[in-house]
Amino acid sequence: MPSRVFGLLPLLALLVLWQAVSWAQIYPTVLLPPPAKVAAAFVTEYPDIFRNAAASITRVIVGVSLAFCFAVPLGLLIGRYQILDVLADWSIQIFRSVPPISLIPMALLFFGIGDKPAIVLIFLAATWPLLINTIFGVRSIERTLIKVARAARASEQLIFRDIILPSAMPAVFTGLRLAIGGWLTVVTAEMIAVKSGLGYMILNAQLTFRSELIVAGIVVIGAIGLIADQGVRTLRARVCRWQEGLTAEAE
Amino acid sequence: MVLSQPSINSFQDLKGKKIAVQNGSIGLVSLNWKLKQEKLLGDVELVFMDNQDQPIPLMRGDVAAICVFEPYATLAELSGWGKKLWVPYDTPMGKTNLGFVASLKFIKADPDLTRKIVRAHVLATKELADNPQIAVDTTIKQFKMSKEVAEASTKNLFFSTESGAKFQDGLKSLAKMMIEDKMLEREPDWAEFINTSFLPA
Amino acid sequence: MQFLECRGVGKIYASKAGPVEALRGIDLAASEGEFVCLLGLSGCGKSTLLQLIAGLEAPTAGSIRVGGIELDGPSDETSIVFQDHGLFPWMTVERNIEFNMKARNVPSDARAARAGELLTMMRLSGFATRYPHELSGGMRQRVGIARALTTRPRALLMDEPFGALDAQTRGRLQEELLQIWEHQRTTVLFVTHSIDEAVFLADRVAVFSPQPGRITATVPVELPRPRDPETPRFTALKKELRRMLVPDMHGAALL
Repeated sequence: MPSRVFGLLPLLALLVLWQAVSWAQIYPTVLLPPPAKVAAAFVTEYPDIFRNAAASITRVIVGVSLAFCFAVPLGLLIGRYQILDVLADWSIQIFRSVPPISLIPMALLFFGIGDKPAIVLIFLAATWPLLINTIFGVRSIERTLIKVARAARASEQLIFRDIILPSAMPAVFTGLRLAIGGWLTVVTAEMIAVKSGLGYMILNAQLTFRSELIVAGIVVIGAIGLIADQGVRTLRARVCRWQEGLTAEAE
Repeated sequence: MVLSQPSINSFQDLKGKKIAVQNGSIGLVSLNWKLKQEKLLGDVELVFMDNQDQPIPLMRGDVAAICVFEPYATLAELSGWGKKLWVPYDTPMGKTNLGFVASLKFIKADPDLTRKIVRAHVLATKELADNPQIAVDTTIKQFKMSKEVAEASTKNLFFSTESGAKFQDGLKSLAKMMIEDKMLEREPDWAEFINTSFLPA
Repeated sequence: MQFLECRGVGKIYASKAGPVEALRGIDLAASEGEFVCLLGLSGCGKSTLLQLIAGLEAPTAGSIRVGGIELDGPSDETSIVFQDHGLFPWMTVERNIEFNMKARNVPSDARAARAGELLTMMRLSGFATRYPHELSGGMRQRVGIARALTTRPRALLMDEPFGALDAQTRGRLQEELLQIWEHQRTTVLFVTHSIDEAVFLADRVAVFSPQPGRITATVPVELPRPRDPETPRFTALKKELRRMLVPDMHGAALL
């Protein structure tokens, strides 16, 4: 397999294109800053950018952790017991389609201003992929494995701990990857009266026409998204080592 | 307009409390000026959020006051969530809060059309000033607002196309205030920025 | 009274096309230590019967008694081995072997000791910490059998366990199974569609035919062990069994 570093190539091409467009002066620099101006912004505003990144990351870690603790156990139960699936399915399909931005007024009403409603929105955005993938993970368990457990008269508890949970883990990790991939929801979430964060920084930059900060914010958000995704992949490879021999994915 | 909780009777009561305001808006510029006047800048926490979201925290008490546009001000007032604390027309910019803007490209391309549009705007504004009921009806029909809110908020509006010295002075003051608040880097070239040649005689 | 008794067992499934009668009027008995083969082509309900005896499903008619007690779910006296081994991919070989004991709350040191015995018995020593995906098909089936034997079942239920293996591995495992059986004298119920396999292994062969699944004949195999597939008596018995199955052949190949 070729080195992953080749993944930088499309990005370098984009950088070249961006610089070319800047040189050609097609767009006013106040709206589309040249790469050099963005780089300069990183240098001068480094402490602010760092502080905002830390704030956003913290909110997302809290929101996604809460979603994990809520959605995974619930998903295991819904996947296992059909009556729960019948009860939950329509609700899940309806609510997963609701865009977080439309929930801002309700979030304000129920949770007030500041970090709380922001974390709630992040929690909601992360819950759906985790829940749906966990359910799928349980459903895809090979039927023979459950038969083996039942024939051996294993308790429900043992079945959950030793069979359902490990078996569903790869799907849970897929859900986690998707949940973290939705970390861009943090930008929406930070529209609600927070005082820090990358979303806040970008929105503020929009309102004050500091487009180089908008781009800087986008770059940082993208980079963190990539790092987080790599992190989850590594974790999954470790926890689900046994999958190596089974799937076509060469991870 | 700034609306506050019932317990707040003057700006000084806002010391140590939170005010909601939309970032980058003219409301923020006015509010900053007022806070400086009252020597409260730094003692009041500004909470940035969109105009339409502000009534909710006011109702809940998460903020002590909101600095918000119509019709949200009237909406909050009529619902009993807050009372009028300050109307921001006593700042140096006065009643200058809207302008009619066109791009240089458009003006160069079709000055006749530009003149016609400006004239139409002046006539329409005069009609609204003479007959505010039109504004009420439009607000109800187009923005689907309730009759009560439409009528009450229209009372807080004024219709004017005054573009003379008073307006221009207000505009220049606004620019100075924005520069002080670091919302603007430098003053525009006024000769280029203001163009009264299209006004009807 | 026999160790295992099926009387008038029937099983009807609901399906989209209407109810399906998988089994009708099954009368089958096996005495302690007897090796019984359930022989028939696919779709005769032999696997269904095995799953009923394993307690995984309940019959819709008749009764099943194991060790004199009517079944009400899986019995402690039986263990089942599946064709697709059913090993847990995330567990090592030894953890897989220990599973049935863990389900019975056997303490961990006792589990480890018994697992060790079976690793030796099934010639899996040295593979204890490997994962199923690292093993060949034959070895995986050995693990499945080892797991089933840990609880010392009085009846071993086997659902075409060697069906997915190549001829050589199958032959080897058949002999190993016979060795274990002769040593432990468990009752064995062995489902297969292979006539050769049935004649080689069984004391008695129950011949199934489909639609609905029922036993058309029970044929004793009185050949001395160890059995030689080349002998005329072996061949004659195969012919007889083939004749019984032929009306249901539908073009399928017999072994």
